[in-house]
Amino acid sequence: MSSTLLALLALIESALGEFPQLLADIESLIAKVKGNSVATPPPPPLAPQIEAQDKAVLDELSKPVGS
Amino acid sequence: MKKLIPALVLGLCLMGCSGANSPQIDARALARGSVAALNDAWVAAGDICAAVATAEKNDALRAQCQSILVPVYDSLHLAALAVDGWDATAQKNFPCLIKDIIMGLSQAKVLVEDTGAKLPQLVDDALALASSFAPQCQMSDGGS
Repeated sequence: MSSTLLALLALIESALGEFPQLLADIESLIAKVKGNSVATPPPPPLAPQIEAQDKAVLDELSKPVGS
Repeated sequence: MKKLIPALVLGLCLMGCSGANSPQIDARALARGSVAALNDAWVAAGDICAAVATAEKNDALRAQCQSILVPVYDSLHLAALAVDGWDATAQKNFPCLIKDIIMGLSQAKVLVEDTGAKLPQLVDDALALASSFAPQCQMSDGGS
C-alpha cells in the first residue's frame, strides 16, 4: 500500500471519528435555538397600550378651542 | 472551535432551508404591526389636528377632527382586541375594522392637509402597510 493511500485512509478515519462530535455540536446548537424560541415571552396585549397612548389625544380633541 | 464552525454552517444551512419553505409573514404578526402603525398614525393626526385648531382658534376644525377620529379610535381599539384574542371571529372581523380605520384616517388626512399642515410620512406608511387587509373585508362582506 502506498503512503498516499495510507494517508488518505488516515484522513477518512479521522473525519469519521469527528462525525459523532459534529452531530453532537449540531444537536446542541438546535437545542439552544429551540430553547431561545420557547423562552421568548409573549408580546404584551395591544389594546391597553392603545388606550393609554390615545387618551391624551382624545382629551385634547374633546376640549373646545376659543374662537 | 474547529468543529463548531462546520456545525454552525450546517445548522444555519438547515435553518435557512426550512425557512425557504415558509416565506409568508405570519398573519397575526402583520395584524399586530398594522394596528400599532395605524395607532401611531392616529396619534399624529389627532395631535396635528388639535394643534392647528388651537393655533387658528378654529373650534369647527377641532369638532370635525373629533367626529372623524373618535370612531377611528373605537375601531382601533376593537382591532387591538382582535389581535390580542386572534380567534376565528377576531380574524374574520379584523379586515373590516382595518378598512374602517383606513377610511377614517384618510378623511382626517384630507382635512388636516386642507389647512396647509402636513402629516408625517408614518401616516402614509401605516395606510400602505394595513391596506393588504382591506380587500379581505370586500371578499367576506360580498364586495361592499
